[in-house]
Amino acid sequence: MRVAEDRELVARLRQGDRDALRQIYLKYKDDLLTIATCMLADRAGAEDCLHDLFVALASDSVRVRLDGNLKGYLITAVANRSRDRLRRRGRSQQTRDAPDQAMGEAVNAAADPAAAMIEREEADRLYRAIAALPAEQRAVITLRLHGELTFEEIARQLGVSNNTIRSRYRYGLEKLRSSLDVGVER
Amino acid sequence: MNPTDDLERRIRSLRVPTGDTLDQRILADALARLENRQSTTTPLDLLGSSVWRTMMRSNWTKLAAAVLLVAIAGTLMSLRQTASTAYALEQTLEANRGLRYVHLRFDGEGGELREAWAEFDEKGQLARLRMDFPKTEDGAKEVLWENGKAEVWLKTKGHAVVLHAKEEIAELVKELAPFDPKVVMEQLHQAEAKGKVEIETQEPSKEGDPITLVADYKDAPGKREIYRVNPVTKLVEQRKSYLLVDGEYKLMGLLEYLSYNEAVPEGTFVLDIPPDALRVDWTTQEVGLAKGDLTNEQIAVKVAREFFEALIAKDYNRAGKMFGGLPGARLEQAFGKMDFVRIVSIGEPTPHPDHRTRFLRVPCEVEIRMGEETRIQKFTPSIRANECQPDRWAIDGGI
Repeated sequence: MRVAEDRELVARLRQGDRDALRQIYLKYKDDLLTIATCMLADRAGAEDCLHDLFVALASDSVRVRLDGNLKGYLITAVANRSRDRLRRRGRSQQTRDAPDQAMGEAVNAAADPAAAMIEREEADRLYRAIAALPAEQRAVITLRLHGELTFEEIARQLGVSNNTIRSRYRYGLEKLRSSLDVGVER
Repeated sequence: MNPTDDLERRIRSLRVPTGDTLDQRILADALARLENRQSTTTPLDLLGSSVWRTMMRSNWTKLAAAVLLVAIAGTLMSLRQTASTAYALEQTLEANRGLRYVHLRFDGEGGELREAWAEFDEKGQLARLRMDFPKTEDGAKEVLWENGKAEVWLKTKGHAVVLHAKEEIAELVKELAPFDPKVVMEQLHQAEAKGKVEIETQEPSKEGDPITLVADYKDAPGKREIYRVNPVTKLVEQRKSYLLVDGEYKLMGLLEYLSYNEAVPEGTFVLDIPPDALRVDWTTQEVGLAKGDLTNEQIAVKVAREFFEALIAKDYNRAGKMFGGLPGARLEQAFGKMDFVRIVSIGEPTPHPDHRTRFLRVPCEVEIRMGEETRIQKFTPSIRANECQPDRWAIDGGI
């Protein structure tokens, strides 16, 4: 059902339909921003990635061809842009902007401050732990768990072997678990 | 559930939502680019997207910018009225000059906006605006803007916020600009003048029937809009947007101008907020603490300390004042089941990585007791100058 809807949205977008672009954005924006934020460990950079992706999508909307599903297309696009940005960025800056504040806007303090503060703290710890991973492991974990890509799809996208991807995933999770265990305070 | 499964579940559950400000920035730029692709000049292009982005990043200018957009668009439209070959269309442009009030309804257009009412002053400037969003991420939402003050009623959540200038509100107001009938008809006029659209005018066969404009876009084959124009007032009453799919025109969106220039129905510009709803009014109470001669970092630390000391003393009114002006009862509801024992430490404030938020985040450790358990809990209040009271600082981005 979603695929059919997405195909119609893409068809309308190619015709220059403003509402189709708006609907596509509203449908996938949070998933895409989450992926970019996790991959980059940088909220501001992730926002720029999302911005550039949709401006480019609008510019080239006539040429958009959907071989697979729209979500996969957008995830691949935002992941590519995130990797390009990581490559451009100096290594010294790679973890400068730890995304521990990334969830700041996610918390609706007025709605339930008590529940929000606990969730916020846990999410912050997890984000900090993800941000501390090597970029390659962050990418695999993010594409697997947020992008819902298979290991084979991630391997194709990153241009490395399936076994390497699986190893990065496993090592990444082990590091995360280890750092989260150490960080527990009671 | 094994530890790996649980960790994967926790990672999957992480969400970084975009927020209204980012949504509007991206949509404004992307839609402007889409318009450029179609070679149709929009008011946004005339303002310049870089100027627009700069404006919209400034908190204080956002609301004014959003309102001005409607006004500027209208001014530009008027200045560039030239001789047109489309008789009915030219008359409509002229009729729009005297616009004082319009009621709009959307179906399939306008994003989450479904209904709006706009009142203009004698100079054509937007004076009052109400917008209804029946379904948003925050649930049903109604927005009222008047005299530089905006009120947002989050019906589903049951609380309302009143404020002077807040970026989210400014962005909401901007939602309406593309559907201002002056903008809609001038865009059509421009597209026709540039040969981008072919308009067929169907005069009414009998008195009282509407004039119909059928607009087919040459640069977007299959895109058709049908406008219904009142034969007497020459104002547009309806626009239907179609797309050619498998040889048939499929209705994709409906924009209705339900009434123009009539006496505004009583209660239109009043939100129906229950008296017991949670209200946060930044226009009638002092929030947070005055900055005085303190540095930004010093006042941020002071607010954080004041907040936690208030919770330790169970002075929820004082805590609410530090927490964006929330009522004390709401703070008690949220924090009343915990005992805040003592402040363990308050660290150096650091700027939020997204400098546009202007938050200073203050790392705090507080000893709290819940039932039998006592723990040292980390908090990081996000503190900044209040939008409406710039010399006063308060927690405004969660803790």
